[in-house]
Amino acid sequence: MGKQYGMVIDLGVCVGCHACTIACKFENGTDLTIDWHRVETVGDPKAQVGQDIPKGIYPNLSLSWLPVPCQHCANPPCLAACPTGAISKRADGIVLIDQNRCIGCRYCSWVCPYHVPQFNAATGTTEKCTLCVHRVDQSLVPACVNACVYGARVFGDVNDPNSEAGKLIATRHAHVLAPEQETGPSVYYIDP
Amino acid sequence: MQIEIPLVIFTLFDGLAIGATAWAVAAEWLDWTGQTEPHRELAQWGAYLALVCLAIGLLASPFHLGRPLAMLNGLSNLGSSWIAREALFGLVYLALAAVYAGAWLLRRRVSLARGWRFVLANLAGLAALAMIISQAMIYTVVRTIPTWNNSLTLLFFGVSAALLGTLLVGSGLVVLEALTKSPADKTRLAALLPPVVRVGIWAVIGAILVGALQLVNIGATPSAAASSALRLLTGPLIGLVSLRFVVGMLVPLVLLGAAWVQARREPQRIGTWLIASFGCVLVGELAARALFFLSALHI
Repeated sequence: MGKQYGMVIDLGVCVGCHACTIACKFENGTDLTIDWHRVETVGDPKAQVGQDIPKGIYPNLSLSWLPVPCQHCANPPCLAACPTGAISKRADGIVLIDQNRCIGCRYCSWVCPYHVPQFNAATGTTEKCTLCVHRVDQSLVPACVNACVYGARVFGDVNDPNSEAGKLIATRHAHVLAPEQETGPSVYYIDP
Repeated sequence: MQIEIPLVIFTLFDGLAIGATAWAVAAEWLDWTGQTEPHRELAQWGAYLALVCLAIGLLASPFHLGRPLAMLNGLSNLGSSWIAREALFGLVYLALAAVYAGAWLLRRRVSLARGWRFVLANLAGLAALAMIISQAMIYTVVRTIPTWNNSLTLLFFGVSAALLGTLLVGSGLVVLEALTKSPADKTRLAALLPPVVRVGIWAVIGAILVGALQLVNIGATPSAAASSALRLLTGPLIGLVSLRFVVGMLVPLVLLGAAWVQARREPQRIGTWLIASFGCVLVGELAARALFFLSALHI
């Protein structure tokens, strides 16, 4: 397997502070209405979006958070579906949308199991997390990884068993989101 | 998901066009195999109506894009994208439909062997088939939307085109007959309507079956998105569901049944039934497309 940049997120460490989302916004200058990165609350299913309400009855309560950046899939459904060829996958596994080629058909949003591509009405194109490719190219980690207060995220080549990320995947039984979709996500999660 | 109005218009009008082209191809085959003169009129008006509807549909389609002026970029990924293939086949179909309609329009000025028109009709028919398959596949392959991700989506588009095209051509012939002065021509055109009515009845029955199977399939799909879609369809969207099944299917079935009975006694008097059923089917198919998008819940 070739290089595949991704990350491992320890959900037991994440406290849902949203620093990652804010760091992403600052780093990439995204529109106020668009989040390239989101943090979902895993708690009371009846809670409104943005409400951190635990599920269960005291003292058996549980509350955790699920940060969702682009999964930079090994088999990205968005890449195959895009009619313009605007979506590409680099040799290091990062999936990007060429804003000059995108026509804003939003089909990538339909086929993405992770609700990642976001339509920007101002530009008429769809955009998403780039894994901070401009930082990665300078041997820096993505802004969300850098900003994580509790060190819940480890960035690296998830296909390399000797990388820190690769070791965590193997030893902490990390899992991916929606494996039944067979997209081969490169973001792994360690359950709380 | 929200209703994508340009896509509703696009799929409705290209359904009309593809169905009309199917009639033109059938008429060309009957003509080619030595049938009588009246089938030529069916081919000719099928060609005109298909071209007009296809042009309207294709004009509407870019308006769902964020950058409509860059729409030609959408032809770049033919290797794996069904949208790109739909766009390509749509443009090829438009070109062939235009040449075919032109061949009919200019038949007295431009000498064209009958065989050429036959070939053009068949090529346009193949492009139409490729276009509707590509269009249905755009939705069928979306694994994240359970209400689309099944073969019924393909059947939905196919039956819809058959129904729309049949009643469009039938209504077109009724109007043509009304405008025709010669009694002989009136009789000749009236003779074409009973087969259209028969096909229309079968198409409505097909649409009822596919619509019912779609609802059953959504109910049987083990997915939270499908369950939510079913709750929508039996709750807030029940009005649209009723419009689709009652106005768009059951009423046309009754009207076409009445036309079929009438055709045995006075074939020249079934026009009103045909046009009324076409109007109902248009309303029903608009509702069907609105439901198609509104009930498309992501996993």
